[in-house]
Amino acid sequence: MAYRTAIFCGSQQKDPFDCLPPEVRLSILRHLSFEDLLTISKLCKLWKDFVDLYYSLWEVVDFQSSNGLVTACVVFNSRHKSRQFAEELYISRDEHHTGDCEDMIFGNDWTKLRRLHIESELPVFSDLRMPALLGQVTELSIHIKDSPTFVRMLLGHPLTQLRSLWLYADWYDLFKGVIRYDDVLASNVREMRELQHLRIGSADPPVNHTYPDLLESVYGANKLITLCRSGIHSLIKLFPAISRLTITRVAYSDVDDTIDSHYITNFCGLCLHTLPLEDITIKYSVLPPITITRCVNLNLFSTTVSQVFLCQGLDGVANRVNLQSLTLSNIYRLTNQRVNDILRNMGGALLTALDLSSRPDDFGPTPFYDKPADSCAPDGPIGSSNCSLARAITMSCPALRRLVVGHTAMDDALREFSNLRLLEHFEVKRSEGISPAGILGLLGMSPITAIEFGSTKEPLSSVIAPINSKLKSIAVRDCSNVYPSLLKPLERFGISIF
Amino acid sequence: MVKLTSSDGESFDVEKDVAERSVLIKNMIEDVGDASTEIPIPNVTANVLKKVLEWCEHHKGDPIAANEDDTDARKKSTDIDEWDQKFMQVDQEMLFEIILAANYLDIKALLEVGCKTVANMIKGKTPEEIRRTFNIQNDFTPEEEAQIRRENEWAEDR
Repeated sequence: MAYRTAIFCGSQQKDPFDCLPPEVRLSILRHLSFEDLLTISKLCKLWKDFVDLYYSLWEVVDFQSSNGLVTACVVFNSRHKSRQFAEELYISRDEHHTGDCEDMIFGNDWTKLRRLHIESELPVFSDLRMPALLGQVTELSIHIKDSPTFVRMLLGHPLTQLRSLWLYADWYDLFKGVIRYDDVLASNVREMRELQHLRIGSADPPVNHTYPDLLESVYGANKLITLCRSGIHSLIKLFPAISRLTITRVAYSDVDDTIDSHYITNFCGLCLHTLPLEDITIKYSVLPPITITRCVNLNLFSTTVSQVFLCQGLDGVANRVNLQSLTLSNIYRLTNQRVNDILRNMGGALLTALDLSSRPDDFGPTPFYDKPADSCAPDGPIGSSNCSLARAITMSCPALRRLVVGHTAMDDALREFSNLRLLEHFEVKRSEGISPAGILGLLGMSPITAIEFGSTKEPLSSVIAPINSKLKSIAVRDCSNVYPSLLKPLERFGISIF
Repeated sequence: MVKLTSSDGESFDVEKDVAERSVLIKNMIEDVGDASTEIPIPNVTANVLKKVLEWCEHHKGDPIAANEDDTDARKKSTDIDEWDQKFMQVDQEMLFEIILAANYLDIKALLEVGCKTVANMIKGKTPEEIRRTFNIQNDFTPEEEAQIRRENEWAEDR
């Protein structure tokens, strides 16, 4: 038996887990919750591979809370076992064992079940015992396959307790051009009076995939229709209590309407505005204008909204005083000037969080979205020559507690931000333009307790010694040019470096 | 009494029922048929073996689980009894050495305690905290990290 005992051999400390035999690592994983497993799959390649393997090894994985009760269970296959304390059930794809799955599901007493995640289309769901199971569920996520019939059938059951519903598809399913939420939300779906959070859309495609090529053929043929007028209309009819809406990678199209597009635009805006929406997140989507009245949190990422939306919709947003948190990230054609206007026009007195950063890795596929040139990025150079955006932020949103700016922030802009007397968290995505002195100036003036920045044009060492004691957290990105010893004094602030 | 020799040549005289907490040693004694023979433990150093034997001594009276494969019993929770908790308050190197030794010597209960201890060090932490705790290098490229984020989105962003 080949066996290693020397773990910390030599001066080079290694990942201790690397030396553990697989069966021992497995024993450790068994004690972890589902959330912990997600966390450790992000540690490094070794762990990710191992967690993936772990999933494939176990037919049924139970996750337990600290008191030892089964709180969640993943069914990759089938195994008959009592799980009357499980609150969560994942039903995952396994094309070969669907028959046994029925046993597994209905052979159990699921009285505690509240959260159900269905990733596979199984014949089992036509079972007469299904309504009882669904009737107690408060959170439901369903993978929409080629045919919406299955989902419609599920949603046709009375889901009286349902608070949260996520209808999603794999990114590649979009290419089939058959996923239409309008079909899913068709007539036999029952009204869900209690539903608060609706999430529709697909997850993101792998980075290296030739998405644009594939998409072009689909998009060009008008097949990427996922939400139409009738779909939006269904939203209003079916979910009257909805307060949270999350849309990811959904394309709106008016292709099934004969009415002119201007009318549809107004129609959709009006419709959504009749819902008591408080929290809206839209990512990688093409959507019609949305007029928002009661919204408290509005987050838009990489979203190509029509130009009308930018001209009318956002101003519509901006005039509302309820808004407390606003994210405008990677928005097509959103220029510094437009952000400036929006902020100046809005009664931003209540706004406590503002994120204007673009994330370069977060751009949608090119047919959806053209990468903005620096000049028109929402966070484009907030420079010494152009401090007007920084001034607009400071003047319009005096109550800001959290501010994230993107690209380049010059020292002059930092000086503007030091007028934000309530600012607690400040983040600069790319900070080549600022100097340690600029950071120090900001720290000296505002009650900031958390700061995050990238490498600066001068070495960090000068900022470290006199650093302000109000700080509770410092994060520094991309500081390969900094000697670790220079960061030592920052440890008492809970510094993290990545 | 049984005589055990560590990889670095140190000898330990141990009561038979203490040594037999290890299934490996138990089998060896049975194979040899003579308890007085010196048993070499070639994969465990003296300082680790000493620690492992300390545990065996304290737990010598414990009933050995009837069915070692009963996963339910082993998975019950990450609660560790007080003595074991104190016992496991060692530096990380020693902790992993104990786990490896318990695995090699086939001492299931000790292995479980070790695994639970490590699991407790992971629970509820962020990836960055865990990396720092165990000195794990993040070897993902930014692209891979972005992909993992996307893969996990369904589970995290509920």
